[in-house]
Amino acid sequence: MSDHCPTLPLMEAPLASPPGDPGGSTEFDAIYREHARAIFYFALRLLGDATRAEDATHDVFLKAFRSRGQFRGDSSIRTWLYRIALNHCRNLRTAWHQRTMVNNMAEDFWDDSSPHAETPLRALENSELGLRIERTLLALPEEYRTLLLLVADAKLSYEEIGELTGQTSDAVRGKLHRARKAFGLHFRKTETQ
Amino acid sequence: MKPLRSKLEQELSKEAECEQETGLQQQQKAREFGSVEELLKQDAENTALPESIALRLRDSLSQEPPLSKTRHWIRRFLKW
Repeated sequence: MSDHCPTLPLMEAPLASPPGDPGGSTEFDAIYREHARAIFYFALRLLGDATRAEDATHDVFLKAFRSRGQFRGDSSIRTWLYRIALNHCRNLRTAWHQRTMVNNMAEDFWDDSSPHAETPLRALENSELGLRIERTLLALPEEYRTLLLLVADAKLSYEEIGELTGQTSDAVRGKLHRARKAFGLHFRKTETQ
Repeated sequence: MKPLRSKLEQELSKEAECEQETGLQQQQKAREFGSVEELLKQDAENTALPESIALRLRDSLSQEPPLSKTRHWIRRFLKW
């Protein structure tokens, strides 16, 4: 697959903005090119719907553009975009009241100490992989899904993930351990579906 | 002297070889992932960014007012 990302001529003339502020059109183009794919993937797997993920990605960057003056550089731009995306997707899910599936299942269910829990995950590298991942993620509690998607982005540290999800990095580590187990168990079940 | 194989035998043999090769290729496509992160990274790499998002965003942003210089200056001064 190509890494091609379309150029985004956002504004006819650059905005007057101080250096380092993601305000100018060239800077915002660069931000889009660097982060749009990660944000789209995050929305896609969090929402489980390609059309909604496209809408969400558009809205996230529009919100980012509108609030660019508030970006102070306390966190990385990627973390800032993830924060907007996470809040946006949460709001959408709350509004939709759908995809309840097994999200209310007790956490103990996912703590199964199955002997297969630590074995490698086997999958075909084709579209089946995406479908199985989508099914698996949607069957997990939302918090697990969010943490797994954030940690899969190697550019985010545990501290940044903790900051994004409102918890300590130790709490993130603990929950990720359970989330990985839960994912592994459910992913293997999808092989036979 | 080795007897000549019939055309049918030769074709059957070729078919069997082909089937074996196809089977091997399918096996090679199956991959083991050491961790969930590795699996998700692969999935992310396989996921293309739709170009329609950039086009829509360009349209939306062309209607956005530019950031006010005054507001920007006040914000920086007051450290909002």
